This record gives sequence, C-alpha cells and structure tokens, in this order.
Amino acid sequence: MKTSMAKWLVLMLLSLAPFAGFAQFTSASVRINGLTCSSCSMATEKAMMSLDFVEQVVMNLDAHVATVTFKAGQKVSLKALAQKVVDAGFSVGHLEATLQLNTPMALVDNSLAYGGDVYRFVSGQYSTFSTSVTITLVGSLYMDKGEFKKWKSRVDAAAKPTDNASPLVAVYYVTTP
Amino acid sequence: MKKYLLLLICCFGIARISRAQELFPNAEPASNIPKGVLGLRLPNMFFNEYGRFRSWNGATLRYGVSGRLEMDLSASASNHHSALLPAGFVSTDGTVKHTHGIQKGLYYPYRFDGVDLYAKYKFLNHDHAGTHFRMAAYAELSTDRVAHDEAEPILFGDNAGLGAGLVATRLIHKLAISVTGGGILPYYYEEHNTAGDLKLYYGKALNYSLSFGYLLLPFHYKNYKQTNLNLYAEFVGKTYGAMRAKLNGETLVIASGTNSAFLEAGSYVEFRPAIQLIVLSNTRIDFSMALPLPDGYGGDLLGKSYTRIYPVYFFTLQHYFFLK
Repeated sequence: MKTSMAKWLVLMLLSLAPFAGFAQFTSASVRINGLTCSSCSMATEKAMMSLDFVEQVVMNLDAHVATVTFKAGQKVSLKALAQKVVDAGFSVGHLEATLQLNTPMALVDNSLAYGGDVYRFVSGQYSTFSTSVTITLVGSLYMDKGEFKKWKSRVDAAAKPTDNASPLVAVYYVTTP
Repeated sequence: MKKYLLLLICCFGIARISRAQELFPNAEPASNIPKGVLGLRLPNMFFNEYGRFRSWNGATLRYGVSGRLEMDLSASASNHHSALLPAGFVSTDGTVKHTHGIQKGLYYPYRFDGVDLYAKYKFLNHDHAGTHFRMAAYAELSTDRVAHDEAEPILFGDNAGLGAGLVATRLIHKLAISVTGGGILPYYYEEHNTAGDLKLYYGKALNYSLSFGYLLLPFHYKNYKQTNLNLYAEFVGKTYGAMRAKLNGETLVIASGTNSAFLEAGSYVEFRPAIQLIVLSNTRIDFSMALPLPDGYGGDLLGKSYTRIYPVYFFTLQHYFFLK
C-alpha cells in the first residue's frame, strides 16, 4: 500500500510538471451514439467547439464520427470533451486520443501523467512510450454501455483508493486501440 | 381513404432507404434541445371557419438547462374568440348552447391568449450507433384564459391548466417512432357578462400521439449546407370529459341536440401528415395539416376535434441560437 501510494505521488508530481514541453494531446476521434440528423451533428460540433482547448471539429455526418484537433500548448480535458457530447443530448460510443510526446515518457504504475491528470492502462503492461501514443478511453462516459461492461472488472481491479482523492486530478482508465 | 393509405405506404417505403428523423412537427420527442442552446420556435395554425380566416400564432423560447432538462416559455395570440362568450351562450331557459349554434365565422380581433411554461426531463437514454431509445417526462402550466366554449381543453392556446405525461422515442436506423401519453387538468374559465357570473369547467383529458418520421433528402450527408427534407405521419388525439357550466353558482343544463357534441365528452384521433425542411442544419420549417381519419362511408373513423374546422393547417419556424 505504501509503495502504491509513493508511486501515485510520483505520478502526481510528474503530471503537475509543465506539460507542454513533455506531451500534448493533438487529436481525438469521437464516435457519437444516438446521432442521426445533421442539425444534431451541428449542435454537437458547436458544443465541442465551445471548449477553449479545441481548435477544430470535423464531423463525418454519415458515420457520426467527430475528428477533433486540439490547440497546441493548452491542457486537454477528454472528460470535458465527452461531457459536451452528453450535454448536446447524445452519448460517446468510442473515444480515441493521440498524445504526442516530445521526449520519451516513462510510465509509473502502468500510468501516464499529463497535464495534472493520470491515464492508467487497464490492459497490457507498459514502461515507456517514445514518440506518440494513441489511447482509447475506458468508462461509461466514453464508450458503449455494452462495451463498458466487458471492461468494468479491469477498471475496478486497476482503481486505487487514491483515484478520487483530489478533485484537481482526473484519473482516466485507458487502453490501446 | 385510399390516398392516406398510399401516403402511409410511401412513408414506410421511403423509410427503408433513408435515415430516420425525430424532429416531429406535431409531437415532442423524448430528446431535448442541447444544453446552453436557445431555440426560438414560431408555431402557427390556420383554418377556415365558414369563410372566416382563423389564425393562431405562438412564440416559444426553448432552452437546454442540461443534457437532460429542457424549459420552454411560450405565448400566443389568435383571432379565434371574442372577449366574452356570446350573449346567447346561456339561453333564457337556462340551458347552454354551443357558440356555433348561435354564430359562425364572426370577425374577432386578435387577442393575447396567455403564457405557457413547459419542462421536459429525459430520464432514460439508451444510445447506440445510429439508434436510440429514450424516455422523457414533461409537465406544462398554461395561463391561457380565452372564451373557449368547447369541452376539449387545449393548454397552449385556449385553456389555463396543468398537463403532464410521458414520451418514448425509438430510433432504429431508418425508422423513428415516438409515443406520447399525458393528462390535462384544465382550470375553469370565468366571466362576468350580462347574464351574471358564468363559469365553465372543461373536461379533464388524456392526450396521446403516435408519430413516424423519415429523412427523404439528402440520401447521403456530405455537409451542413444540404437542405434536409423530412416526411412525417403523425396521429394525434384526445379523450376528454364533458363541460360543466355554472351561472351565479347554479349548475346549468347542457342543451342536447344541435352542436351539443361540442360540449359533451368526446374522443378523437386525427391524422397529421407533415413535410419539414431543415436549412443549413439549423432553421426548421414545418408544414403540416390535421385531418380526421375517414371511415370510407363519409364519416370519421376515430372521431374529430370540435375546437377547429378541418382541414387545419400548421406552419412552424424554428431556429437555434448557440450562445457559446
């Protein structure tokens, strides 16, 4: 437990380091569920565009997939992005985001630190990412409810008592596509 | 009858090759306006009352409080009613006769009906790729007070009162179906005329609707500039109790005979075909009409509403303003 806590603290400190120099989310692909009409797509696109860190949203109106480009040097909150989809009246079916790394990034406790947040892998074991990494978010906010049921036990197993310790730190459970 | 069946068959035929729509012109879906978005809707209703053009015009401000809660504030005006019920509404023999037995198609100036507050909460949300099933509960409060002289209550337009109900909307790729079921508790109407203090108690009502919606054009979405053409087939109805009337506290007898159906308990389902254009993926233009379903023998299959003269035409504009 003490080791785990120490690792978590290291992760926290790493994540609070100036993130722009180390890593940057550059883009995300968001499949939106329940969406069928172009006016609904437009409302969802505008909701996502209202976020300060979003540079551009390109919506595939037939496939209902939004390709989101993020502004350089700004902290990206994937939770806020997903919440915008929900606020527009829809749900996220699948969310992938690409984290660009300027320098190789070491993982602590199978977790990445970025912008004050923690990204904990619930599948595979990773020690270092060198250039960039694309992650798929795991959670009821980020995927089909049926899909999440398959992952829930892994999330529960990966969750730490400290995951909800600070409202300032968001803990994301992720996998690779 | 055949042409309605043909229209319905066309609806389903087209639905097989297109995507569904749930922006029903004559019913609210279980989905809401997005959070933080302000919508302006301008609903209008027209019909010909024995040569007199009747017009009802509303304005609704819609706002998405959250992804689940929507609040609407509406007001309306119409030239449907005089300031007071006609003097002969209560006969010298103490019975009540419907206005249409006394006067038809008279000129009335436009009058303000009142305001209406509506809230809808989406409590169930099962979304999947291209499909969803949603359920919502709504509640409505109307302050409308006009000289409405039919048993059937109409909250947004004629009657003060409360309304509440449930909406279930299912979207399965190419087919959108929505069912609404609710109740209306109308408030009484009171006026002081030459006969004295007259109070009308309208029938409590159950309201229901069944809506189908289809996107005809475009076949494939490419951009937001493509104008959407949607076709709808909706069935809207009510079951309501009889009107009661009191003059100076004394209960009046509702006269039987000509036009008494206007004041008695009733039930109907009317057919509302609709065409909808959505321009630049935001401005919604709805054209719709209401017709009683014919029984093939010159009568009405499922009754009719006595509050308007068929065919009734609806024209609604709506635009969303994205505040941020």
